[in-house]
Amino acid sequence: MAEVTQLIHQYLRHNKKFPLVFCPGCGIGIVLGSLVRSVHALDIPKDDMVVVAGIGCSGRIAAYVDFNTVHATHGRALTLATGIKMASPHLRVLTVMGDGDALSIGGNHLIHAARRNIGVTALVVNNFIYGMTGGQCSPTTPFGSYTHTSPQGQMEKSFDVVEMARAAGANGVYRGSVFHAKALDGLVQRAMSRPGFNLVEVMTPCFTQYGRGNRFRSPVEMFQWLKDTMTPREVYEKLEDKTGKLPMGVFVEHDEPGLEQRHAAMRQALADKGGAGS
Amino acid sequence: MKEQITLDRFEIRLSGLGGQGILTLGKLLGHALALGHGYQVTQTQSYGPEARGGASRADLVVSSHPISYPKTERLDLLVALSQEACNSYHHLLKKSGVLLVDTGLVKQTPTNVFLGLPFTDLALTRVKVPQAMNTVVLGAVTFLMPFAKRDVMRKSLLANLPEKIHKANLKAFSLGYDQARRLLTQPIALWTGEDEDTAKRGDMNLTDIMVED
Amino acid sequence: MSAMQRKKRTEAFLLGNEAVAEGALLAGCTFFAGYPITPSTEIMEVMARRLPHVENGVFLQMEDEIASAGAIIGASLAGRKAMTATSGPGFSLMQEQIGYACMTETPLVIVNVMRGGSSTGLPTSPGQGDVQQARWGAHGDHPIIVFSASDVRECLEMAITAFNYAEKYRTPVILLLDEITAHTREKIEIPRPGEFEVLSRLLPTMPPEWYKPYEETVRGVPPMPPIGTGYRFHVTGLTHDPLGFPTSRPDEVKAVTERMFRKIDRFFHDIQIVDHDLTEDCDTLVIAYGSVARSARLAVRQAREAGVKAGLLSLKTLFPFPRPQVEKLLRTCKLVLVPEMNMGQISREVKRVNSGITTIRTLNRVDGQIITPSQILKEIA
Repeated sequence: MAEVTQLIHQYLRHNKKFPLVFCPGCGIGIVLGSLVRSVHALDIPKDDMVVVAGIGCSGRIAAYVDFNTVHATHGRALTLATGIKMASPHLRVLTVMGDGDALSIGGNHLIHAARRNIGVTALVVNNFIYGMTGGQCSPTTPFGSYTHTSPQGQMEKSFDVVEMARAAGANGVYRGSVFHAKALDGLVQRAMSRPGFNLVEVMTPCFTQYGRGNRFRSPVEMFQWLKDTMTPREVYEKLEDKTGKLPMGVFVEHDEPGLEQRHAAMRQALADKGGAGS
Repeated sequence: MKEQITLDRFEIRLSGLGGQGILTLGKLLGHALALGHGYQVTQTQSYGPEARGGASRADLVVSSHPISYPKTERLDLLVALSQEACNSYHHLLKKSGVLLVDTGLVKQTPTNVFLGLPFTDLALTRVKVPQAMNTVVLGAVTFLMPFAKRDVMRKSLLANLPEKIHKANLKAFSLGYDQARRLLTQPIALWTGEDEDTAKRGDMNLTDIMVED
Repeated sequence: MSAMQRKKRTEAFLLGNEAVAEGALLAGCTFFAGYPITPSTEIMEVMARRLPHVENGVFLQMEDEIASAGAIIGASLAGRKAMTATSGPGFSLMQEQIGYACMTETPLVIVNVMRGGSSTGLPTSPGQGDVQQARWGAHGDHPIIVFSASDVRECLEMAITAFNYAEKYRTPVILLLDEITAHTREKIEIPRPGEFEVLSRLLPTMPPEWYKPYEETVRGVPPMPPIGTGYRFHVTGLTHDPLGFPTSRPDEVKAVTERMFRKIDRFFHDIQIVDHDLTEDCDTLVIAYGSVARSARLAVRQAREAGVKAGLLSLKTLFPFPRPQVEKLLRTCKLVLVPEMNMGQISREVKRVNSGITTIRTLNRVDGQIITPSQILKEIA
């Protein structure tokens, strides 16, 4: 506990008016904790750490952490992060986005950030719902789920973030859950310590806006659901009946250099040719 | 040797089809007149969405004084490298203006008063580089315009083109210049005339120099 | 090609678009992100060629204009002088980000080369239809600076000025060109470094623990350190307190909003740039901007030859609208003509300032063609 208190003092902003905006039973606080523990474990100086967040519940994480923080426009966190990383490649840039943020309004930016392999870590906090606006369906809302904008049940299929990031060319793709906090720490650290674009999908419950409308009687039941559903990838692949299960762990790991590294190499090659300033 | 002539809005239109190198020709000509000859030049262009085959034109205003209105209003020289361009723009020529066409591509001129050379054919058969057609035109135009200097034009041409195509373009430039010198009259009398109305179209007797090379 | 000439001689034969890029580089721009769109693309192409040769220069082609604007905001937060260039449709897409840059007081330069028509309109023809969009395109109350340029030399000069003012006032600056100005080639002299002013944003002098990113200052413009230099602060598009954290306290909301306006308002005299041509004794005035100002210049000369006391006020600053300069001339002129390649966007501003002082006539052309000198002459002589 003393260690936790110490981390709080070291990494959270004292001048920010707490408490957090998150509802009781929300998992985003655990994502925040995982982020702080990962930065601490990787020994990244606070001045080098940049958190760019989108709009939505998860986007509020940025205001609480004592790093360089940018709360961007809805869906555009990765575009600002790209600018920051390319302008100052020594900075460690991480984006926090929700499922609606990253996959709906910002879907194009996510695809292209992965394709250009910009050296940014992307946390996609997936709670199946637009929480801040009051519970509308998102691109990850499971088929048939009830939300304020799918009162007859969601009629559309949902995205698989992991498969999309893989197809778009991300260097690293991971999935974890806030129930498996220790494992999540490991995944976040792994994603943050590798070159190029690395994406971590974090499954987290939203009881207030999603759970209540979909036969969950308490936040605890939602955590129980995560516990039952999330299965380590190695185990998942061996399962004969995969219904109701979702794999988590490491899905993709390539070692391609990040875009900023490619640019640096290109500039160096030009300078070696004596082309600088021509 | 040509003298440095004082100009007050000499207006040129280069027109034809996309892909003929009209915009490049406009840029080369403008570059040479502005930086090489020291005139004030505005070069504007108009083009369609097609990269090849649509209508294309480049306009130049050349003057010894600062140019306010950058576009052309009444042309002193119209180069038409397609029938359509010739039809569309010949009415914009001043009375003293000169029409120069590609005789291979413009089969019907709206007036008998014009100059012509088979530019495309020359590029194809004599330079053996069809893309150098615009440089053949540049050569001819250099001869025709009393204020354009051959060596300055040549130098500017080289400065603007990648080295690997210098040889072909120099050949094309000389060909255009020599063909024009041999077969066309330099219409100095028209362009230096103080009052354009005194230069009546009927005074020009250029039809007999229309040639098929 | 133009790069090599620049070293050997100070004269170059450039497109307006190329001159904008040269100006940006002279002003210290090291970051460009963009998306191809006619008729602005040459700016992007020059930057793609040149920036890799500039120290730490970054050129990015993004997936769309929203991303382009986002990337330059990020780069600017990281301390770079950053720019993008687009045309009407892309400019519309950027508006949300421009609003964010206004709210977060992030210096940016956004070039909009206006095409004809609304929507996809006339991609290769000129228009001036984005004037009011440049001022009011982003949602909500926000101050912004909008410049224009009428010839190639001005393209270079106003690009430098745009960067200087973006940095000086911590604001996005819009540089509005039209297709004619952008696609006219002219001979210009490229100034040498040192021959013109280059301004950079104010950096904090206090230690990080004292630094408040959105604190009131004498000029109303708070200092702005690059991300990663020890001043860790929060940047948000939410209305924020002086520390940068979201607030909805009425007193704090009012204070930050009013300061954002005041930092521009107070320096109108510095920002409002106009050119006077034969206005000392004129009784017939043409107010024009962009390529139309060139037509007007010729028309005014011709009108003078015909005995009309004509003058031209050409606007380089469109917003904040140069009210003092316009108002003064309205009082002495019996006729004011505002020719524009739109249905009347700057004429609205002139009429607003006029409020019955004199006769305002408009000349609007929306067929994708430039307003000619003879058209203007017909109206004033």
